[in-house]
Amino acid sequence: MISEEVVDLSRLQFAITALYHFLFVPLTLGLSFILAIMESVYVMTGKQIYKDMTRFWGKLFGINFALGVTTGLTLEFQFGTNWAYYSHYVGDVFGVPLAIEGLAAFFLESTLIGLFFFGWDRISRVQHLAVTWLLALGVNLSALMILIANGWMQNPVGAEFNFETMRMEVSSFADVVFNPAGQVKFVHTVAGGYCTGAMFVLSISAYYLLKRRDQAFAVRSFTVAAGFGLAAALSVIVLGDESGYTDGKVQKLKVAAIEAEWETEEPPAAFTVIGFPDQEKMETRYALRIPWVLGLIAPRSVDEPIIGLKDFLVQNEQRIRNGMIAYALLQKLRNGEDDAETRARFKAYQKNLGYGLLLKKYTPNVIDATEEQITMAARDTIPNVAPLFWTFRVMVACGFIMLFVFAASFYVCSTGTVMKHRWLLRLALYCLPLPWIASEMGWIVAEYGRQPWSIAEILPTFMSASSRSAGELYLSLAGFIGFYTLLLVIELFLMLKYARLGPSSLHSGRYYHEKIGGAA
Amino acid sequence: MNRTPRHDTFRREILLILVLKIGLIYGLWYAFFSQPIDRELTGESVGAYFLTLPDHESSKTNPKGGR
Repeated sequence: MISEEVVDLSRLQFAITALYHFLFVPLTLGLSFILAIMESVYVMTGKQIYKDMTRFWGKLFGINFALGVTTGLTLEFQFGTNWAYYSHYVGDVFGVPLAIEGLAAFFLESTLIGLFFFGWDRISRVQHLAVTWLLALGVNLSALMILIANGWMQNPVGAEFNFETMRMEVSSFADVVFNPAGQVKFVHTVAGGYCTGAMFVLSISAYYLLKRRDQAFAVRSFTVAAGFGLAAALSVIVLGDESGYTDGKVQKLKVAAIEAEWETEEPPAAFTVIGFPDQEKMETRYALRIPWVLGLIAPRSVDEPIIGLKDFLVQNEQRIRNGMIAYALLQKLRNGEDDAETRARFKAYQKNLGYGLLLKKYTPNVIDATEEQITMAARDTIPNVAPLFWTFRVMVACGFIMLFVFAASFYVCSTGTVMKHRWLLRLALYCLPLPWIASEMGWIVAEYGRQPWSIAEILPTFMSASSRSAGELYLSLAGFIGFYTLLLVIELFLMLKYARLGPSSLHSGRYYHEKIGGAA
Repeated sequence: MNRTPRHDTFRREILLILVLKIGLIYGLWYAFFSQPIDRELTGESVGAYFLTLPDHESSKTNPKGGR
């Protein structure tokens, strides 16, 4: 088997690069629609200031977009370099949405980006507005494809295992595309992106307002961000609830781990607001619990229980035993004993094959696994609860704080009292990191909560990695960290430079720094 | 919109960029993806990896990623 060190390094490399990539993606998703809204107002009213807003925020969008593309490309290549068995086993299913996304980004988005930046004086207003809306729809279409692929990793539907090719093969592409896990993750993720874009514009506009410069520009930007952000924050919370509900149907164990539900309690289950999960003892110390709440928000039922992790252990032990039978049958089929009865029996046990593969960590000969090895493999099916418990709560807390900031900002914009509430402007400025923290925490919940699987209940993560050497992985990891740190420095330098300059960076002669410079 | 020399130039530029992109993506495909996928990672080798017995045998069939 491939060593644990190599698997862990491959995971670390993917996690670092994916989390880094996702610093840029949500801002691209959110800013694209904010640009479209600002430009729509410009086209409808003809007011120059809205064109300036679109161009200025578009400049920051462009910097962010370039970094997002650069960091995203490496992820797709990692499937080939570091996850060769994964790519062979599920590439026929997983590769399709990734290929669509790659081609859409290469031909559609980048062309539209070019038209957005260089088309202002070369196409009509309405044509340019159409480009901006298409750009916003294009980046969201890319996100849809990625989340269809990711949703399939969480809930692999529409595909069947072919023992002859040792691959998962698509049986219904419609099922893959309309997978409820993928769809609900898509809407939740893009709504999170809209929050990010709105908080970005809100915070930087608040900075200008606190500095009392370019106020007409900043108030309008602040207002657009407050309205869009309020709608986005409400959506992300409602869709997050929907995501939890869907997980409660298709990823029950993950929900139990996120909520540190060790025991199956009488429905409706209580919600643990805070506590200290202890994986060894399978209990949560100092738990602060609110009766009924989890039952009402997760399965949305007063009589449907949430299965506890201890019961999952028992269930999964049985599935591992069935997996051993599936494994033995697969060996027979691969050895040429391809009769109808063996095929029928394999079909009956096939859904447990992944559980049987979990034993490969402990014994090369799965069918002769000992009771102790079965128990250890069953324990592996429970992800590490404490990180999931905490990251989920940090994400939710960030979401509610943002909702408050957007709601308060929307109120002061509606009453025309933005400049009278400097505390809110300061709060909006300090809240700038929140959407990024929430997004990163959300991804940790989604992907760390999927462990020990790369494809839920089908392919264990440790069976998915390529047989690279640890040295190769340390070297490439160091390369990624060095290169990405450089990219981060460039991003921050450019973002801070243009954010400080504000609309003066448009060189229109109408804004603060140019007037000051002109006066001087 | 009326066709003007400026718009004709713009159309030509967009067309040129698309042609360049098609050329570039063909080049990428030719350089990295045109060989058969299963050159090393065949159904046989994956079957052996998943269903093999001892460690020392699996090393014979463990291909590296990436090709």
